[in-house]
Amino acid sequence: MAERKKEADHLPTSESDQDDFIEPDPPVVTNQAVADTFVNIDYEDLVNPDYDSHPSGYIHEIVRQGSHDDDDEPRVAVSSVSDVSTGEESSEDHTEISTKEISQALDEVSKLQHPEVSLEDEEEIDEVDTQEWRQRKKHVFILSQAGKPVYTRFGNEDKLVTVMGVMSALVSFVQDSKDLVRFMVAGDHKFVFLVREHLILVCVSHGAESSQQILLHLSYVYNQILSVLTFSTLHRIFKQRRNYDLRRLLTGAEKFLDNLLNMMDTEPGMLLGAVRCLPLDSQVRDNIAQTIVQNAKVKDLVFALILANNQLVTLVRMKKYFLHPMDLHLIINLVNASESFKAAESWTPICLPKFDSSGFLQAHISYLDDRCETCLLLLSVDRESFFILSECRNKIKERLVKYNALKAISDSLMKTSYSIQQCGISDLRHFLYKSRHMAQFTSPELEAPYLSETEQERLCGLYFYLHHRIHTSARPLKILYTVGPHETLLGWVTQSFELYAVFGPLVTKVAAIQAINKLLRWVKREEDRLFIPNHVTF
Amino acid sequence: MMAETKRKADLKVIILGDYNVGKTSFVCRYIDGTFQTKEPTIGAAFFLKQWGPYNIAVWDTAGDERYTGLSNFYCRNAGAAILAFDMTSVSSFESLWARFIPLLDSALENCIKVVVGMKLDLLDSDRTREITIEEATKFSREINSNIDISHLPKDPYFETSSLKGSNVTEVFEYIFNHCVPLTDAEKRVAGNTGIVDLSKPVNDGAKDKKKCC
Ligand SMILES: Nc1nc2c(ncn2[C@@H]2O[C@H](COP(=O)(O)OP(=O)(O)OP(=O)(O)O)[C@@H](O)[C@H]2O)c(=O)[nH]1
Ligand SMILES: [Mg+2]
Repeated sequence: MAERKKEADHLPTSESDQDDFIEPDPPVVTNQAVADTFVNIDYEDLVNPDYDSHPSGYIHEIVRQGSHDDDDEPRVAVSSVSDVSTGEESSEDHTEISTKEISQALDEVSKLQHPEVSLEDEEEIDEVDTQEWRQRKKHVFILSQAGKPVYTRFGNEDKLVTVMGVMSALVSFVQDSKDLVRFMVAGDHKFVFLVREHLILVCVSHGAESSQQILLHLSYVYNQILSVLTFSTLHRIFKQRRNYDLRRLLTGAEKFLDNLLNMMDTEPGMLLGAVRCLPLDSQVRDNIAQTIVQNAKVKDLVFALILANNQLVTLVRMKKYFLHPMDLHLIINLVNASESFKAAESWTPICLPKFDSSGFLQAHISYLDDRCETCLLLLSVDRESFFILSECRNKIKERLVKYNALKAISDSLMKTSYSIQQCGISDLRHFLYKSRHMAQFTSPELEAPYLSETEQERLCGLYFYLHHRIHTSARPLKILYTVGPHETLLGWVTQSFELYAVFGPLVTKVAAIQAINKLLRWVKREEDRLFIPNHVTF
Repeated sequence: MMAETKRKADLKVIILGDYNVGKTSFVCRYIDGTFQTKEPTIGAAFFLKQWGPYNIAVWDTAGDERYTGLSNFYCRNAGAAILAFDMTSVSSFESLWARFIPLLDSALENCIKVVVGMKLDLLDSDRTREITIEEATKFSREINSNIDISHLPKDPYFETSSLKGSNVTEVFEYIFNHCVPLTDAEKRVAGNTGIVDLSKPVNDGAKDKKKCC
């Protein structure tokens, strides 16, 4: 893929086909620890969700020669890979890990790739042994520090005891040398590890995501577990019994993990650390927010929000608190994954790990319309406040019906969001625009040529690629222009926005830049409808 | 807060039991008169039911173990508890004793506890009954030592099928007749008082719509 990139904010003037182009300017995306606020949220903050543990930052790439290809890399090589650094560089030397032990371990793990090697149970044909299972694009495994299976995205954990055991052995082997395994590459598979105090999360993928992107996905998965249990519970349980079978406490919660992983495969929001807002006239939206403020003046109510079809309609928050996009995604996932809220008003505990990983908030969840599209969530710290909130909910519903706001929401849901044609820019096929201050993004409907599932997956892969190239922390870019065989990609990151645009393959660079500028003007014009600039406070 | 609860409802009924025993199906059969496969409950769901002049609050809780510690709110001041188990699963019966009875410490002192075996219809097919009627009846008497059960029309144990609709309304009416009995005039409005009668046609009791949706 030929690439031309330039770090300036405006028209690129020079070209470079080098892959290891070094960014001369200081990176736009900084690694500073920032406060958990909407105004300051940035991507790096999400990549390192180290609020509860801070692994010492070695990143090792363990390259193992795939038995099927003619790669001439050393059999087991460990090297530091600076471009996946998390900003905690250390000057210590990395020692080569090339012991017999680790290659044995790798052989075990490689069973994942080689159908002819069968796992344990000879008697029945396990799903784990099937070609289908092995060819899954993205496996996710969760195990306890003791190596006990907790979750697998595909198949049955019980059949994966060996594989999980090996994974935990790998992790503790590297830990023994006061180090941390981050990822390994084996053939075209990446093994990415997220090691937390009590849990080990492993993703085995041969998809388009980069290791850091997978790491981000894993931290979402980890937070989903905290959301169900809280960190305190997790901690207490494993302190009491290292060997505890966590699945007991997760019965019924697997679907949240499944759903989250499926959403991450198709929705760019989590990658971007941004949510999508339901397009609405800004006055209507204000009206909805004010209705909530006026009718839910309740002590201890921290957040009130309305979701419709995974999009944010409005969010009202207590003055001193912010809802982190990661927490918001977990809330969206909760609503998206459960049918049970449609039957009745629900009262359920939920932990928002970015808000407070040690305890639960109590959520009053109900749909406001008969078709169960518009969902109201009232999140309080008071476990006793169900009836008060239930009354608030009735008043809010009544007012929203009266003001035709519920109708406005359902009208907006009926219309497909918007067509790329509406932006009036030829050659532009699709784009993602993220407002960094608001942690919100917008994108047009998927249209031809991205209608089939495989094409959509490919488009997703393009965005993963573009996003990865721009955010590679060793050399973050401001602008990246890439000409591929089927499309031309342009990514542009500034203080205030991130833009990822996909053009037809024949667009010229000048035309693409012009198109982008035009698109930015269009977004600016539509901003009021597509974004929520300020969240109202109680 | 307690005042809130009281103002809102005249009786609080809580349904407890292991996950997947059929609690939600049971409530929905009573409230909606239908049987649809339900997703596992998240936290707890609240239903309001009119019984004559009375407001009845029904809390359908999630059976998953991780919610056990949080059930206090749902149990507090409950006037009646439905203790549900799956008749084809011993462990779900054992859970009642081990996990759920202790939660009822915060219920009203005269809380009536009705033990309900679920999925009776499965016994017709190939599944075997794991808990005998005697066993369950004995258990239901033991846990109600706080009230005088001799005044009850029968032992507080029922075997039900939400799928077929058998014995579902009866459980609720048994409870209501005990906790908030209606006068004759009120009864005519509210419908039949139910004594167990398996020969009775399926009662699709929904006179009131669910509160939301
Ligand atoms: N055959 C039969 N199946 C039933 C009956 N009642 C419930 N089920 C099935 O049992 C499963 C669990 O039912 P739910 O009502 O969701 O169980 P629950 O107790 O509410 O479960 P949690 O909410 O997870 O605690 C579902 O697949 C139902 O279809 C019944 O009377 N007969
Ligand atoms: Mg249920």
